[in-house]
Amino acid sequence: MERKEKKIDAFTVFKIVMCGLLLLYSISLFIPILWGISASLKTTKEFRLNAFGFPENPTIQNYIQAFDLLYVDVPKSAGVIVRVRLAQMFLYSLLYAGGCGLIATLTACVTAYAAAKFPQFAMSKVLYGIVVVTMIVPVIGNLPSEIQMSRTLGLFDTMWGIWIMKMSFLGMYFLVFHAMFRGMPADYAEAAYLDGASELRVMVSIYFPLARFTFFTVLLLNFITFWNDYQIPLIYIPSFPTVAYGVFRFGNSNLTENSGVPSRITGAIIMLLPILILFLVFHKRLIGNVSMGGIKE
Amino acid sequence: MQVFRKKSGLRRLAKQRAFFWCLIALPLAQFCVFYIGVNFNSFLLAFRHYGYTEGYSFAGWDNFRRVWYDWVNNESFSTMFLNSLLTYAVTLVVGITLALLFSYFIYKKMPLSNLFRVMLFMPNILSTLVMVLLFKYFTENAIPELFDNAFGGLLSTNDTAKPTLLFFLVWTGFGTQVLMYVGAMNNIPESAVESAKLDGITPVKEFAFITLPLIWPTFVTFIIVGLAALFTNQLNLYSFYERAAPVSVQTIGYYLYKAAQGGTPPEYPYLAAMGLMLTFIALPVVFIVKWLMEKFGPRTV
Repeated sequence: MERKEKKIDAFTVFKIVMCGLLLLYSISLFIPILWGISASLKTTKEFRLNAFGFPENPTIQNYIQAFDLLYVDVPKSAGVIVRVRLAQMFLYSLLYAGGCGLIATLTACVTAYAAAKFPQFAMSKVLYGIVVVTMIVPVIGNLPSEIQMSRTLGLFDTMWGIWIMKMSFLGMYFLVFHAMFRGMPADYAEAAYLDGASELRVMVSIYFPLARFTFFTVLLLNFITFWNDYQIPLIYIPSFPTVAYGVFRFGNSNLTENSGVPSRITGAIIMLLPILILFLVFHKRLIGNVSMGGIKE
Repeated sequence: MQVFRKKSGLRRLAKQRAFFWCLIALPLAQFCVFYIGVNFNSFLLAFRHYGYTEGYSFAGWDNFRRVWYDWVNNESFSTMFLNSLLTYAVTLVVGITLALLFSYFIYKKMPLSNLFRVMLFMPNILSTLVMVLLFKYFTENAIPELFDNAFGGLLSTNDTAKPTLLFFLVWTGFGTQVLMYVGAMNNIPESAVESAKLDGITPVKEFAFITLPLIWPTFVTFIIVGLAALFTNQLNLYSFYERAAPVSVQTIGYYLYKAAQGGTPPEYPYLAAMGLMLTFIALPVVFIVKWLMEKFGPRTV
């Protein structure tokens, strides 16, 4: 009895320590965000004198200015420079994140469906193997080759080109879809086959509706990943600067007009807002029960 | 009757095969071009030389010799290798351990676990770039002011830059891991846990002998994927410093991205050769670790 009490105590200590750590972690996440919002409401002068504290005279001047200052100059042919402003960057972000997110999710979902639901074909195992191997095999330094390839194929600096480049089934989400489709009983389809349903009908009308929640979660995760990504647009679509690309340029800019830290922070806050809203609306879906198999074949 | 059934079965199989290939044809073609093609091209590029007038020509082992020479004689590369290893070690020891413990806490539905699950995932959603910018200005401006400017910005001071960058990496890196671990833990059959509880298993033993073995494939995945990214992990340096990160904090991943992003065709063969050499270093390590983890992984009670 005494021993049992000791064990319970040890677990209680674990619970308290973990709870404390997680509380500390949660608070630590909010500190820079709240500080950023507070700093974005200061003038550059006030920020220099009081970087940490709350603004004495809050102003939204930085937000008004950000719409003017947040731009990217895109060099076009023969020395012509086109200035891309925030509204246009939002449009490019939507095209890039929406297009790539949808294509990447659909490709992973359809390929995983094929591999999971048709195990009688040797190619199904090959597909699974390809995903597992490419996750394990450390391919390093192929970026120059990829840039060269995209230029050769005429995909470089085009929105449809980047969509094609992102039409890949590789990665963890294939495993998530594969595990899900494998877990769905074949009985659902058998009844439909007996009624004369085609393979396409079975996939679209029976299995895909069952997968809609996972599909939507992966789509959202992919959309957010692409929305936040600036490194790929920086390399492959330099003429279509996204909001992330613009904020990156703005945040690291050496131009004197942009040099005020509060205005740079304001750029980051502007980028944060749409995703924060998306997260607040869909957080239950985003962090729902997503699981995958391991990489053991 | 049997012949009819057989024929009908074969017809269905043929239809299934046609449908199967329709589904995978395009993704497979994309894979052939953008994975096999790109990597094959990268392999070829490593043996080439580029001249502005004559274009690409065969260079034999020249690029590899140059890379080896730089690795041996340029001290920056030693620092970059050490930083890449340190980054993985910290992610492995601190990041994965904490992620597992946090996941277990959430899986056991302990107090505020739903809130913590949201909080742990938040950095994945809120963009690394935004977090980098806020964190950068916070550590450079607000923290020194808070301590009466007793020290400089944490990222611009040599002694504190690396720990600060590593802290940021771990601090923002729990999301996907926790999501996947909790997902795997939730798939553990309730009956297995219940029967162990009836036998008087302690929570620690439950974690070691039931939870960990049953989520082992997911755990191995994260170890291996992290190891595979050993030489591509940028430590968020490009977001923090753009192209001007101090050598003392640079990783191989940052160097390769920076060089390729701002590079010109004459530099591509050198970079491709370096990538190939790094792949040959990392490949056996990854497979040995995977084999060891699967062979000596935990067993369920």
